Amino acid sequence: MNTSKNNIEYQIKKQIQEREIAPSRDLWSEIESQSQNGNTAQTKRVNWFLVAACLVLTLSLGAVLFLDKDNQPNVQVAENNPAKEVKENPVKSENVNSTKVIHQNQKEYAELKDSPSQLQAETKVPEITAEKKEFPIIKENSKEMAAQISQIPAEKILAKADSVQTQQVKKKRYVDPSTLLFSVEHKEVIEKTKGGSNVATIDLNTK
Amino acid sequence: MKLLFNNKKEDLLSRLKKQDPAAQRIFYDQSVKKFLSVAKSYISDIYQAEDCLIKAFCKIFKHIESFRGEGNFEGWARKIVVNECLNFIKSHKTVFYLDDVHASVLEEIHEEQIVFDFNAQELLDQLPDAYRMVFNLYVIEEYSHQEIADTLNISTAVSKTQLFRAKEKLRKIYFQQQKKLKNEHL
Repeated sequence: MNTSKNNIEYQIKKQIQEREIAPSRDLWSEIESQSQNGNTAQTKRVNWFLVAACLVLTLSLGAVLFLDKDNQPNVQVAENNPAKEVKENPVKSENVNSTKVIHQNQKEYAELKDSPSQLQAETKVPEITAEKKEFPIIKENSKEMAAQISQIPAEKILAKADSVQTQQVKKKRYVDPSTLLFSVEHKEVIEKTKGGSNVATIDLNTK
Repeated sequence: MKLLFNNKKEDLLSRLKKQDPAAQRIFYDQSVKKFLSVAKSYISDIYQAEDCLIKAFCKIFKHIESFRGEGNFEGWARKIVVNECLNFIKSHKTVFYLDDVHASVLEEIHEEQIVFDFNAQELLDQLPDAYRMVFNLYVIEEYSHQEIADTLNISTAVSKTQLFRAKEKLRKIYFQQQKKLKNEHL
């Protein structure tokens, strides 16, 4: 840079460095208010962070406790199922590094591979029984139902009667195989009424 | 006497670091006029320059912990004022940097005998923003072209051309003013 005192740049620099300009308004009050605002904003931020952190903590704790309650029965079911235990064994064995354990597991694998049908049978049997249990037995007709109804206390009769009605409605929709068999076997007993419906007269006392 | 003065300065600095409002007020009173002069050399409008100065003072007080005692504290604070002014210009105005000038032309500036009865601010106010920024940084703040290039995100070549054009323009404005003054006297 040319530092000669005879150039414009030097004179500009000199003038600007030497001069002082008084502010036209009260800048200090604005600086004070701005710096105070900055401080309060900081404290507010901290407070909001605290609130947010507390909320997250309580929510997560609540969620963990709630999910734990939900998961407990599922875990029990998993423990009771023998098929799953058998399936889990090889997976666990992969985590063990020792060669002996690997050999043992390979043997177990081989045994399992030899009897896949047993496994499948074991796994499938409970399912089938469950399915069977789920379906309503349609045979529960006149006698048993009547006996059950008589045993039920008076308060629950109304509700039970409703359920019987719904079952009757279902019967109308589908042909009961037992009634179909009955109608074929005892053709002689069935008579047609005036209304057009088939009625079978059976003497219960003879049985 | 000098030791006492230095001790006072160190005491003020330590109080400023503790965010002491009384110390802040003292520092403001000591430096506001100088800093406003600096801000005015970048921003011709006095109200905008004052707004920049308010922001700069807030930054100085807020980030005073980052001053590690390397160099002069006033110089550090002055740098914040300059940066605040540059940021204001960048954000509020579109700055155009003109193309490169041939290197040989840069050396052809010849000094002429000048009568120094001019107002520096009047000359600076007539410069375009790009010229004024580079000129002030180079001449007043004594930045190198590399430093100017870094702060303004331009190349050193552009910085050099802006300085050359700024000087040229200043001369033109100056001689025009001189002509006018002569005519008025006649």
